[in-house]
Amino acid sequence: MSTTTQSKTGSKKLALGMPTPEEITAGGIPGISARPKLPPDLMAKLNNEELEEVEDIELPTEPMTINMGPSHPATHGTVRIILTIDGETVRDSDVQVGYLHRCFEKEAEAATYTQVFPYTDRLNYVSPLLNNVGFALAVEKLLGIVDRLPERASYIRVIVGEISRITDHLTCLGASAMEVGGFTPFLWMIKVREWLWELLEELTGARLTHSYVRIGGVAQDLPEHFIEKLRAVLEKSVEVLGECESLLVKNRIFRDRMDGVGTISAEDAIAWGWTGPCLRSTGVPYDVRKDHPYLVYDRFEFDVPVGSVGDNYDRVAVRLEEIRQSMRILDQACKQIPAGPVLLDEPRICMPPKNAVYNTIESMIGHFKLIVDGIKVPPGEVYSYTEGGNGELGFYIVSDGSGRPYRCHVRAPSFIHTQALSKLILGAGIADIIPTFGLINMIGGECDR
Amino acid sequence: MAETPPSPMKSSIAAALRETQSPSPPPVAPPAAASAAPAGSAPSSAPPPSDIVTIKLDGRDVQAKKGANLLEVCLSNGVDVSYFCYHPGLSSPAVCRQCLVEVVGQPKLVPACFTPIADKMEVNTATPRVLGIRRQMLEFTLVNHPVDCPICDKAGECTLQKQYQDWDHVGSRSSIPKVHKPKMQDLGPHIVLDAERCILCTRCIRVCDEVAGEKQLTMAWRGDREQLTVAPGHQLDNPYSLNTVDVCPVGALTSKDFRFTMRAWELFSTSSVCPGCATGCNVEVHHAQGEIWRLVPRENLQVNKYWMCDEGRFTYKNVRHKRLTSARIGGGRGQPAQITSIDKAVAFAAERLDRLASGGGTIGLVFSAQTTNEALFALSQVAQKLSTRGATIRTYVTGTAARPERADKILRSADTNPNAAGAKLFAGTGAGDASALLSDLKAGKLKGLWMAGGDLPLTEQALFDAAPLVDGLELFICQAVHDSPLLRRAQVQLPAAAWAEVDGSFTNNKNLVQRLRKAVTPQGDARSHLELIGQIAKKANLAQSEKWQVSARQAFLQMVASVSSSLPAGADPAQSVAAGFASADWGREYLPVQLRFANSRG
Amino acid sequence: MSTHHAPSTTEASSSTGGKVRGKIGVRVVGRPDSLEQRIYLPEVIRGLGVTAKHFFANLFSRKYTVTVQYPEQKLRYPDRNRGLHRLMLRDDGQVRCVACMLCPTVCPAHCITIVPEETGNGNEKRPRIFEIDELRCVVCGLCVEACPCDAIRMDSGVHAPAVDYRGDAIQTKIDMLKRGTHSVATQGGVGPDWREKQPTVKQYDPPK
Repeated sequence: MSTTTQSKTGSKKLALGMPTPEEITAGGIPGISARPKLPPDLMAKLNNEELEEVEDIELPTEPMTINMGPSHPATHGTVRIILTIDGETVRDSDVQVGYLHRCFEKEAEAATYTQVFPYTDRLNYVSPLLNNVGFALAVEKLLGIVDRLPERASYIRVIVGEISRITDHLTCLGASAMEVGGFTPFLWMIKVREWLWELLEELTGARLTHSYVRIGGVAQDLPEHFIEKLRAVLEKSVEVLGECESLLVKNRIFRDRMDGVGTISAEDAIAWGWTGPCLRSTGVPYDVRKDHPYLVYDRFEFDVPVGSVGDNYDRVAVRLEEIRQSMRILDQACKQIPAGPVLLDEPRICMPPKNAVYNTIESMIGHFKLIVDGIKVPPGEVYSYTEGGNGELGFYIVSDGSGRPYRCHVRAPSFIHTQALSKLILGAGIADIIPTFGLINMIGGECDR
Repeated sequence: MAETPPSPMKSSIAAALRETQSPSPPPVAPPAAASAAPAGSAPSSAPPPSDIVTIKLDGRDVQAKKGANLLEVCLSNGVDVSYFCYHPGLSSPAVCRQCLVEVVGQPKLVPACFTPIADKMEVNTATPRVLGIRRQMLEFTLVNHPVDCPICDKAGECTLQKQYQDWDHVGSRSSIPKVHKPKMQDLGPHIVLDAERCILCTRCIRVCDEVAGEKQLTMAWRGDREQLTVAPGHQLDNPYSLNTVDVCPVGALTSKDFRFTMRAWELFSTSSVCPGCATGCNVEVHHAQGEIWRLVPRENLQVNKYWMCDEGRFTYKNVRHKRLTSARIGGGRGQPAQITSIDKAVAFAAERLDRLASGGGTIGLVFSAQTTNEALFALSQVAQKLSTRGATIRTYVTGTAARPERADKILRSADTNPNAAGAKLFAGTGAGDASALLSDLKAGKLKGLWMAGGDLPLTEQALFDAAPLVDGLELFICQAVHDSPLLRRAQVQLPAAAWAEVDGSFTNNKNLVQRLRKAVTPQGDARSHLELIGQIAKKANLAQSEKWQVSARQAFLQMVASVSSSLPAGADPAQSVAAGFASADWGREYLPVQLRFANSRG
Repeated sequence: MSTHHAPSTTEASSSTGGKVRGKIGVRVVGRPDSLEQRIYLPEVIRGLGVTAKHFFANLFSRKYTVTVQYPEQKLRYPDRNRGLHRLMLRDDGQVRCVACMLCPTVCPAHCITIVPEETGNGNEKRPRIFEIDELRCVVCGLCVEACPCDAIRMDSGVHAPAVDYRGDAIQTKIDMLKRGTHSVATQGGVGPDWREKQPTVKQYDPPK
């Protein structure tokens, strides 16, 4: 006796041994022994004319356990997924993170607040400046100087942050396109990312590990003609972005691979603690920049792109649109940015100017004290959150009044998104795992910290 | 600027200073941070109520002894007042004017360090006027201060840096050239003076006058050319001269020994006891990168107050000098010894010891006064076991030679052993001294000898001459920190850890049991005397898993229980060594913290 | 959709109060689904058109080419680029560094080793050993920021070279002094007019 189901098109489907994807997703999969047994006279049955109209004959298989990762060529981060598959269908999965664990939180406890910046660069290493800004704002909140930040520094932070967001999304989208076979958009998007990184290198001195933001402002002012160069780059980038979009959005192959894959409902996404583009793809317009504006984000006109289905395609489309919105913010920021200092004039928090250090004992003492003892942050605890590349990037810092954090915890969006990966890929095909994983945009450095 | 309200950081600074000012630790000294009671709040004998007055300190009522120093009252009540020239162990000349506070009813600000408190006094320490004057005083102090932090040894633990950052932190307004004074002046065998950095607080002069009792330093010239100098015809060469470096709030006086070796903030601090003499001055061992860089005195009003002698500061050099770093066996009778592992050497020693004891031989046990109480206690336990097994035990107390010429009435003692009292206690009443040991060896009374500590009160030459005496022994086990001619003739040579490499305790000449803490890891294969004794005892079946074999702490607890069990109640520590153990305390365990993250010193 | 987010889907102003100029504009991203897209070929041809445009433009004018033929062709790093460390010189050609140890203190990677010594002259102190392990260095630039003497800089314009052995990656004092130039920064409170004397940064020209 075998189970015969009627598929949409009317042809018959014969499932002898394995559960269908629908059954897997619905849960309550019967064990293999409970499935119909292969009839002993299989060959006879196959020759039976009755079965000629049956489209598929799925042979009964034992579920197989395979490893994907930790060093899988297609996964972005170092992650290990232990898959239980029935044929091509994922029946169960166990996502294991931690392969890029670097003790960020413990390291931060042993470093002065300024020394933490190079560590934060390596959290989400695709958008380091957003991490810089997030950490600086947390310490500034604890110091109570958020309101006193120099305007220009805030604008610079917005500018470098939005550039980083664009590079983050470009990397994610380019890689995802590549994973479903579109190599051209990947190269073009990486080209744009390169332009932006060159710009950031000119500003910060490094392409990737910038260590640019300081508590109380930023390390250096914008170089000459930075704004003009930024505008020129953005102009070029829009063009490239349009081309990439035209190659992807209406491409049926791309759409077939993206539509309806890795779908999650808004309720589930919220329940899993999702934030950022992944949450917005489900239709929830939560954006820290809008809902809890920080720096000068309340001065810019921009939209929050949301999806409607919550599948992989929505995550692509939301990110594409966010790049455009970030460009909008950059455009306004370039117009509004005022002149002025880029570092707070508070000798117990910010380093004195170099010329004064070389020449006066007062500034020299301040310089020594800030480096040797660190910035003395009053005792207390703070949770400060910003919109990172992947979602709400939160820093929880406890200070005991000394120059080092007593405790520093990162609410890493990647880590929280990766929790739901098992659920997203349940019932999907093996080939869908990598694009789904890629569009969650798990960044190992941030997830594992 | 005077109107600027104190920033929110002020509270944390005040709290930090409170910790810094925490007072004298108990005899077995826990780390400075562990002692919690504020100074003056718990005097041993409460003064009569009439002596207690109430003053209003920043709006709150504070009780203190009548006539007490206002600055001390402020500090002990957690009120942060900046100061340079005041030092708790010295007189107050009120020369730096940094501790000026407002006393209601007095037209001018008064120096807190020079003001005795009176009943119903109202004191304000944080009014805009006081803060403004404090800032102006710092500005004055800094006008001629050279931009020397990068080459100044005091940077990182400098009081001037700390006070500036806490109270001033305003950039320079001066645009006049600085007054230059002589730099790198050689003041004596240990000290270099940089007159430009001096802020004229006179603490160093008072240390020489009041602590060392030798008037060697003085101020010369006037106004902005005033500078510190040695008195005509003198050198800064008193035996307590390096205390001037400790009290110097800036880097004017620097130690030749420590100069330019390490930055102060990079060092880790471990509380310990100086092994230089029987006084047992409390010290902080400053170490980093596995090496000790300096010793500084740690406050203990019962023993050394705030001071220590120059000689004691250099005892750290012994820790890395002429060390025995690996075990050797098979030496003696002119035979060269073979380097081996500790385990093999211990097994060799245990086997011979067992044979000797079972054969009823006479075994000499040497209790070195350089060794910790715990190791000596362990040896005394082993001695009992050996005698029950049939051996005849003779005990000896040795150590380094006494140097009567160094004794004075301040801190230095003629006895150069840190634990003579403990060694005598554990060796028992019939213990002989070093000369008894030598005559017994000469007479051939001993068959075996086990030395826990290789020191003998002999000169190098005398030791060399005496060394062949041990060749007649059947077994000679020597646990030693340093290489010596005597050690070279031992059949079992075991490397022992030096004082800074072990946890344990010393008993000083006032019968106080004081705690040593491990600051650096032992060199080479060296292990503590306690561990070596424990392992030999285990191999020789003299003791199995006794408490004292587990850890130094367990040994300490067992030792204290054992010693104080035989003690009459209420025994006076001043009278008997054993009574000192009754009040001994192991203290808190802690990880050393880098000085930059501990509270600023000074 | 969860209800507590529902109000913000409309054009409502942000609830944070204060000077709010932006509004929460929500834009639902489209899911284009047209016939020509479904019949596959027109979009494929259009896509080919886009790539073909790049192909021919690159073939004839290199319009879209961004490739740099390294190492024949090298880009000049921007002035702020953090490259190999260099040690600056005094006017008399001695090392400016006084071994104040601020850079090893601030270095998050602990890659700087300095052993100080006494000079015997007026400078008092200088490094006997000054080594930076470029494999450990995270190129954060905090050492430059921490230097109170303008002695260490990273504006050498060359990046850390590839090495065969780990030991070769250690830059010694001599290596870094070779890249050093005279610093024009005034120092040590030399005179009342220090405010006017601004230190300037001289870019190091790497050997061709």
